[in-house]
Amino acid sequence: MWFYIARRVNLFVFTVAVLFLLVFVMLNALPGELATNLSGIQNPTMAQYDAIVNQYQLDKSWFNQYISFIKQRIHGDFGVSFSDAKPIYDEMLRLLPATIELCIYAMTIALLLGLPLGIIAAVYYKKFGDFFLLGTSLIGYSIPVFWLGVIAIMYFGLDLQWLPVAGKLNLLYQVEQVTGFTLIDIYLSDIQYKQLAYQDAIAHLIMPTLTLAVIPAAVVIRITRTTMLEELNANYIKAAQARGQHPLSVIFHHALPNAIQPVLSQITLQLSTLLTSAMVTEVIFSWPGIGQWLIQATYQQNYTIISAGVLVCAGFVIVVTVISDILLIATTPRRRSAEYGSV
Amino acid sequence: MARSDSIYQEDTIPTPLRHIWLNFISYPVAMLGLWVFIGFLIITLIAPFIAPYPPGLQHPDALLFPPSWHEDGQVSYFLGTDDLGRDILSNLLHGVRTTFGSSLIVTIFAAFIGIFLGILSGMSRGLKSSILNHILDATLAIPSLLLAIVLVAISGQTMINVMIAVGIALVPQFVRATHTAVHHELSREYVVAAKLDGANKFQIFYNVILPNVLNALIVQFTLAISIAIIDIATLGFLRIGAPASTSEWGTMLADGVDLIFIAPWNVTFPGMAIFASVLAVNFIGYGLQRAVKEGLG
Repeated sequence: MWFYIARRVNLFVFTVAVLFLLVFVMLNALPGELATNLSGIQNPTMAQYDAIVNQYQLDKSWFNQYISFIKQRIHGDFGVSFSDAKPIYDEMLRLLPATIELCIYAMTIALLLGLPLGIIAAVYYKKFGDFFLLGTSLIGYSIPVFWLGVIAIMYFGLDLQWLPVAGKLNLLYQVEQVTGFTLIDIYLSDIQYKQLAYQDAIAHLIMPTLTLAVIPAAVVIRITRTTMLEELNANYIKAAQARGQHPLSVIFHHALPNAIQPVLSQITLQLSTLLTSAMVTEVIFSWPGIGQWLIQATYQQNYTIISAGVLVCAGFVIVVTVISDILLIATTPRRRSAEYGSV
Repeated sequence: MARSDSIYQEDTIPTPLRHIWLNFISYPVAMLGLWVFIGFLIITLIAPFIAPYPPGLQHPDALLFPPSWHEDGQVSYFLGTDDLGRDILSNLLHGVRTTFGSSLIVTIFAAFIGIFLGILSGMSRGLKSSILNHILDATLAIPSLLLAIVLVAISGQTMINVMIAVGIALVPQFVRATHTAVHHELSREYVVAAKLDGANKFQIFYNVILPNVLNALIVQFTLAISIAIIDIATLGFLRIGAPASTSEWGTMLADGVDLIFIAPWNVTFPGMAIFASVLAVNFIGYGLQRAVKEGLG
C-alpha cells in the first residue's frame, strides 16, 4: 500500500509542478511587464525593480525564473495586489475560508439529499419514482446557477422578503474573524447576542448554499443510482434475498457499503465544477469569498490576483483529489490493483 | 451481399451505431430533447429572417414594455422590451446564434483537437503517456470557467476570443474521456488478437478500437455542448464574455438583473432559453447513455 501512496504523492508533485508552469507561462503571456505581473508592484522604482529581478532571477534563464517563481509562491509570497498594494497571501487567507465554508455546506446538503434519493431511484428502477427522480436530477443539472440564484433573490429576497440577499452576516454583529468560518467564529466570539447572530448567519447562508447545492445534488443522485443499480444486480444480493433477509437490510447492509465507494471517488471529480459554480454564486450573493474577489480582479485586470486565484483554486482541487485518493486506497484494497495505481 | 445464400437472409444485423440509434428513438424524453435541439439548430440558421427586429435595435418610445399577454403589452413586442427599448424576442432569437450556435462550433473544434490528443496519449504507453497525463491532470484541476476567464483576460474581450477560451477549457475533458476509453480498450483481448494478426498501430486504432469507443465519444460530445452553452452564458453573465452590445443570453440576463424589480421578464426569458437548450442537450445525452448501455449490454 505504501507503494501506491508514494506513487500518488509523486503524481501530486508533478501535477503541481505542471500547474506552476502553466501559471508561469500565463504570466508571461499577459500584457504588461513580467516584473510587474509577478510582483504586483506598479511602476517600481529602480531599487524595487532590482529587488524584483533579484527575487525572481529575471536576469537568468527562464528555467531559473520558473524555479524561483515556485519558491516565492510556496513561501507564501504571492506578490501584492495591483489596485491597493495589499499582500495577496493575507487577503487569500481571509477569503478562502468563506468559499470553503460555502462549498462544504453545499456538498453536505448535496450528499444528504442525493444519496437517499439515488438509492430510492435505484430501488424503484424503471418505476415512477425512478423516472421522477431522474427527471428532477436532469432538470437540476441543467439549470444555470446564475439564473437560479437571481430567481431565488427575486422571489425569496425581494418578493417575500424572507431571507437576506447579500453578504455573510449583518454588520450589527461584530464578530472577530478567527477561523473565517462564520458559524465557528460566532461560537468563538464573546458577543452578547449569540443566538441572534447564529440565526442571522444561517439566514444568510440558506440561499447561497441551496443554490450551490442543486448541481452537486443532481450529480450525486445520478451516480448513486448507477452504482446502486450495479450492486443490486450482483449475485450476492440475490443470495441475500434468497436467504430471506429483510429488503431494507439487503439495501443498507449489503449493497450500500459497496456502492458508496465509487460515489465518493466520483464526487471528488466534481470538485472543480463545484468551485466554478461557487465563484458565480459568490458574485450573485455578494459572498465575500475567493470567487467574487477573482471576478472583481478580472474587471480590474489585476493579474497577480488572477494568477494567485488560479494557483489556489487548482491547487485546492489537486490536494483534495490526492487526499481522497489516498483515503480510498487505504480503505479499499480493491483499488490497490495495478489499474488504479498507474495512471 | 455475399450472405444471400444464408438462411438469415432477411435478417439484417444493425451496426452498433444503428443499434444505438434504434434504442435512442424509443425514449420519448430523448426524442423531445432531439426535437428541441433541431429546433434551436434551425433557428440558428434562419434567425435573421424570422426575428422581427435586427439585434440591438432600440425603440425609444417602447421602453420596458411587458410581454404581450400582459394588459400593458403590445403584440409587436411579443416578449416585451428592455430598458433601452430592445425587443426581447428578437434578441433571444439572435442569441440562439451567439450562445447556442457558437457553443456548437466551439464543441466541434474542441472535440477534434481533444480526441486527436486523447488518441495519441491513449495509444501510447510508458513515459510519453504519463507526461501527457500529468499535464492533463493539472489542466483538469483548473476549473474550466477560471481557465476561460484567464484566457479572455490575456487575449481581450471579443466573441471570437471567448469562443477560443471556452474551447480550450473544453479540450482537456475530451482528451481525458478519449484517453480513458482508448486505454481501456487497449487491454482487451481482441486488440491483442489484432496485434498478433500483424496490424499496425493505425489499423488497430481505426479498425479495432475506434468503433468501440465511438459511443463514449458521442456521449462526451453532448456533455461538452451543454458545458459550452453554460460556460459562454456564465462568462456573459459575469460580463467578461461576449462584448456588451452582443445579444447573448447570459449578457441579456446580466442586463436584466438591474431591472429585476420593475421588469422581471428581462431575467426570466433569457434564463429559460439557456435552461431549455441545456436541458434539451442533457436529455439527448441521457438518452444516448442509456441507449449505449442497454444496446450493448
